[in-house]
Amino acid sequence: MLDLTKIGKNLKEKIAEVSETGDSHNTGRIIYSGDGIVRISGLSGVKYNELLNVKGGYRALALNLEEDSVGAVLFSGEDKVRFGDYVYATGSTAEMKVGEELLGRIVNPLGEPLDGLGEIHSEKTRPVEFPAPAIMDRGKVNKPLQTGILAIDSMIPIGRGQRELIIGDRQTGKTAIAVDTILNQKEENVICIYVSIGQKASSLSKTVNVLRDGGAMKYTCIICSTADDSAPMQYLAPYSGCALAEYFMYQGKDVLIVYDDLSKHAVAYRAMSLLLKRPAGREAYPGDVFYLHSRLLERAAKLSAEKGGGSITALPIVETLAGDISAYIPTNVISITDGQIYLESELFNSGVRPAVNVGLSVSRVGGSAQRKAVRRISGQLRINLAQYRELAIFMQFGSDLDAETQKILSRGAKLTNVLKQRRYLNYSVKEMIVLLLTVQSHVVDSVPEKKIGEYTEGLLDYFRINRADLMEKIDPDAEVTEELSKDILAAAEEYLNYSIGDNSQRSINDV
Amino acid sequence: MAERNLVAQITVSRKPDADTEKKIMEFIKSRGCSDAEYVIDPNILGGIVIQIGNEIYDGSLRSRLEKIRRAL
Repeated sequence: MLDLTKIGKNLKEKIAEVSETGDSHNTGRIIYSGDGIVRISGLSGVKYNELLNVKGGYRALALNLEEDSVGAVLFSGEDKVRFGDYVYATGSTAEMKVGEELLGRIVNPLGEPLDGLGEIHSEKTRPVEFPAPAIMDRGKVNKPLQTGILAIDSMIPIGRGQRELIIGDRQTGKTAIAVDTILNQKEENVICIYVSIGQKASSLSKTVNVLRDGGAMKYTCIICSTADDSAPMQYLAPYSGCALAEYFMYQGKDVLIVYDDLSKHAVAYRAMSLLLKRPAGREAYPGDVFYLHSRLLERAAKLSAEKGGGSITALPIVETLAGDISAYIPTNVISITDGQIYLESELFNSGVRPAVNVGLSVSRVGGSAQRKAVRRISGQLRINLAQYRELAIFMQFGSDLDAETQKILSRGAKLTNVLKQRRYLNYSVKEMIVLLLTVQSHVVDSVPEKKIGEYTEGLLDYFRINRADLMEKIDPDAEVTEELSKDILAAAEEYLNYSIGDNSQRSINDV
Repeated sequence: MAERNLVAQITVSRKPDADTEKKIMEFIKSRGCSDAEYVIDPNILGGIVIQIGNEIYDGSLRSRLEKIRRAL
């Protein structure tokens, strides 16, 4: 039975908590409303970027402070506000709810839940705009962020606290790389934040399902603004995500944040700016579109040990049109980040997935964060691939090739094949070491090019099950000894004989 | 802001008595207002709303009830 007296008592207590004094507000009145933009007269003393309350419970952000009016953008209710409505200044800038409670949740850029799992009980908030860590507060990037993708971890390594751009045309697997990286953080003790900016709700729901099925939601928060959200919501999303990331970073934790994607963010900002009648510049973007992204990405950092040593690794995504990386937004973001992973649709369509163009992709700081063993072996890999590409051009002339060249070509082709990796199939560091050692040795010479994918997959299974003792011996933080690499190659050969024997038998039976 | 010659707009649900009116005048004078203009609006249910320039002092019963509604 309901305890009525108890309910009554609770209600009374709650009512008593509400302050009785009337408050004084700085107010203004709406003198123009259209396209989600309102102009307000009054509101003297309002600050730039201050959150406003419009009568009826709608919120707006003050962005243009002018002599006789204030220009603001509405987060919602653009069809509900009326001429003459009162607008109250809240005295604070936009804030984002933060805390451990947000992990596993899907929220909008103001921290309100969208997943139907109930209210988020967190009292803590952080301002959405916050200055980046000072120079003296920063430490050196020295720990790797494992993506689990061989092509990236070996040749374009990402360190914790780095900003690595993922750039490419539509449908080249940009989001796939980011999502795979999040999935790979399961054992790495990295908190992940996925910020969706102006994406289709259908593709976002796919991403959510992948993360959920992969068990990644435990350590992940999704900040979501879809294509039907207002431009200000989309504009705010990455800053909100960054505020949440900072909350964890200043506690000394490692955070990975994915901005998917910043080209749509720039488009949302352009819409706002043009409607606010700010002057348009190149490609109609406003003059401060560079600052828009630079101030966001500067907040990703590795803190010094005195500041707790936390880090924010940022993986911004930028979509190009027809591979044009010299467009305005791509060049901007390329110059801000510490390197880029360049994806190509040509590679993607010819079956190289992830479609990373190794020649154009770089990582400017990650190398020093790479595990010692991997660094040594993958240095060779880059050279081998470059050599292969150079010779591959000559091959097209169809001239006779000497045995040495042919060997380089066939090994190069196999290397390219080994770098192909199925989705959700992430490699551990030790597996990468085994793979890299094997495919750059004489062992693969007798494997036909078409069988190489099959061979490497089987090889890893073989190592996992039959040669766990060797895997145990690999220390990613020390160089692989001569002896150990001999043992690994011997084991790889052992498996080769075993698998080829198996295959030939099968083919005889098939005939 | 020395040269403020503002008229305060005072919204009440019914005409206040002389004593209250005196208190109101004192309050708005302390905020730099010279005159008051009364609006009778039963919608605020009770209490008083004073607007001086851009500043609104909301002491109406309606906004207090609204606050309680939000808190619950």
